[in-house]
Amino acid sequence: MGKQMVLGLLMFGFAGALVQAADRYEVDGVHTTVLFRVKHMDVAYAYGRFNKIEGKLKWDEANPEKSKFEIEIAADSIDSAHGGRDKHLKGPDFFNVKEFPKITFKSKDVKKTSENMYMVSGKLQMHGKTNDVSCELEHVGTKSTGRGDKIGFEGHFVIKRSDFGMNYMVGQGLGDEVTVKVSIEANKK
Amino acid sequence: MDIVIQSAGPAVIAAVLMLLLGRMWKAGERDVGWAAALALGVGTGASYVLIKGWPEVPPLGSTQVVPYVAVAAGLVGAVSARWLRAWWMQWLGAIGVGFAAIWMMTRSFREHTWESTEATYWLTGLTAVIAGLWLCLRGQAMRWPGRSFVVTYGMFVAVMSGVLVLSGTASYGQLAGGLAAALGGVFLVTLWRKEARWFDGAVTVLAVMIGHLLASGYLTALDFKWYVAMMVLAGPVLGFASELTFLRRRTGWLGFAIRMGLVVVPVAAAAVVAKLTEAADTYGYGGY
Repeated sequence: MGKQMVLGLLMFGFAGALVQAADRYEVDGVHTTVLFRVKHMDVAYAYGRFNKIEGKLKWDEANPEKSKFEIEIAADSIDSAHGGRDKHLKGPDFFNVKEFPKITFKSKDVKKTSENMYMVSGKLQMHGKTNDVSCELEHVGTKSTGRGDKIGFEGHFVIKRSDFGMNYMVGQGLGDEVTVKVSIEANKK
Repeated sequence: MDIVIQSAGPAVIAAVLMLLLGRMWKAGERDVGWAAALALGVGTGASYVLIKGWPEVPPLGSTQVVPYVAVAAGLVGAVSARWLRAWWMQWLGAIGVGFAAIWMMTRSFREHTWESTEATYWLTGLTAVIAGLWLCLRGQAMRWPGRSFVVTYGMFVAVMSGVLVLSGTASYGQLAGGLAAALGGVFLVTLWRKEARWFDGAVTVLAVMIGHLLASGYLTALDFKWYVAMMVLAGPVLGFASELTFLRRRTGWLGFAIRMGLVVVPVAAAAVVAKLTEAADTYGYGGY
């Protein structure tokens, strides 16, 4: 009887651990968006986006600090809606995509700040340089769909491009501060 | 105001440094190439700082390698001109610093893009370009009278800066402009010391920087055509045609115009081709 009780408790414990374990997701590049904006001539904002995004998430709603976000962006997928400008952005004056083909973000810390809101901090590597960034991320939703289980987040953060050694025309008509908006949709593995 | 400081700064720094070093020249010393090398290297390195701020240690990417290469080429040029007088030792010095420059500049390509065989081809080929440029420049500097060499190559580098801009690498274009400005500063001092033989050492900086900037622009721009790069390199090679007997007989302004034309026309043609080809549309939106 005693042995059966211990075994039963162990089984429940195992099942509980399975329920508590973080879910793993793969970023759906087609339904994920990374937008950015930068001030142009001190009069308006110019917008652009990256079109090739990959990544994986580990999501633990009960213990958000155990969650992880890893995003990888192909720098040469930058798209500012002008072919010539894209070429310039890909060249050595800006992203220098031949030398630095990837932009990556790896989270270090995830904290819940309020209902559905999380502060995700981590390392952003871009243009050969790595800096700490923090992004307030909204957990938009989790749902089982006809195409599997999906999860989604949205948030934004601000960086200074000069912190990443990208200082072409800073203060000369092109802003230093870049606001990045991310919307992530991921599929459960 | 910024643009004035960025344009004139390298010239002023190079000229002042050369004047300060001039106080170390021994009375009657003619071979002052070591001072010109340092002035040109530091002036070019300073142009990076004036345009982009201080580079990081170690340099972040190929653009930040430029000031390190400029100063290193200045030091190697100075040492080789001052103590290693034989031309082949100076040439080896230029090859050494040229290889180091290409090695540093291509770090990311070697790590992410090239297989070892391809990396070997590029490193060998680009170092050979710098070695060839050094031979061309020194040969012409020794043969051409007066200041026609420095004026001709000042113009060459200035137009090459335009080629780099038109090929989608404005940053390297600006830095080539810094090299041209520093050369202008050295030129001003050579007007004062007319008897000085200033090119030993300085040609090391010129050859390394021309090769390095051109290679950096070519490898990092998306749209830098290979034939545009070849047209730029054709200038220093064609400069030797001025030694053909029927051209060498032309002296004075006509001779100067011939030498200038042989070196600068190919690079000017390269600028026109870069403007006419797709590369120029990089700035179709205004450039920033």
